[in-house]
Amino acid sequence: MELEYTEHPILKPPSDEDQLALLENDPEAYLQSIQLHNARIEVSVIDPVYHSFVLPQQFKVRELLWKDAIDEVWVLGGVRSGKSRSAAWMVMQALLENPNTEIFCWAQNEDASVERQQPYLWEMMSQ
Amino acid sequence: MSKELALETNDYVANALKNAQESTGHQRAWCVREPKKWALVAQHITQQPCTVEEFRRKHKITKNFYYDVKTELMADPECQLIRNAWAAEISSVMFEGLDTHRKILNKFGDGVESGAIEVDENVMFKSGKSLQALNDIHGKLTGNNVQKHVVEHIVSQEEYESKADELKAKIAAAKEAKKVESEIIEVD
Repeated sequence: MELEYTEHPILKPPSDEDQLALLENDPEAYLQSIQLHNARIEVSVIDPVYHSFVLPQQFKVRELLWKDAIDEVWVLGGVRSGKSRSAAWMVMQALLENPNTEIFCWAQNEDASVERQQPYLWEMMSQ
Repeated sequence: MSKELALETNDYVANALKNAQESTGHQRAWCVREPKKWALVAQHITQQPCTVEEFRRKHKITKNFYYDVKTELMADPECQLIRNAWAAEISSVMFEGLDTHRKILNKFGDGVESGAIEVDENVMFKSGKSLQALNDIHGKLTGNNVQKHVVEHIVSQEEYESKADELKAKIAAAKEAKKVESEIIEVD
């Protein structure tokens, strides 16, 4: 295996100083740390519904929707702030946990659906 | 069969034919000489709509041709499903065979005990071989005789050292950059 931490926007490797200290004092632990880091990223791709990196506010939306008294949650946010992705995450989890369920995902038009919704739904499918 | 399934099967057969033609090293292979017939047989192997004999008689296909195609098809890495079905068929034959074998063994044991069967070297040899065969089957079923090859890349001392040097260089470069930055701040 390569002695490299896989790059990820959320999961960051230890600082260079910490890596060096670990490498010089306990090479096995250093190797294990790389393995754990890379495996965590890999599993987030293989099984995104249950192991992808979900932001706290996205968990909050799901918690609200789980409440019986709440029928809808409006999520506001800028461009590429994770709205569609978190919706795809919830849709796929609902599909997995409720067999024979049909869920409609609406977009402005067909192109918008293909460009902005379907890639996230595809990403959420287990590999 | 649904239209979708038929389409998938046709695609699979076409792909398998292409793979077989590409992987064969000579022009004598059936997949090169008789591609249409090859595809017909492959379709029968994957779908099994009638018995092999009926199919062979209807399409005038020789036994040789049929089983050669089966072997070529099995070599395709994508035909795992067919191999699984084949394995299941073999297992059922084996279980049936084991039942018969048990009955034969019982009768044989009774014969030896009563003295009706005389035990000579030949009988001893056959009995030993039979036990060996059973032991092999048992090993295969339990997975005890499977050789496992684990390929593991062990990180060498040189690789650790080279990584340590790389990290030291990065840390030194970062310190240098910080120094320059602070110098600029002082000038400001």
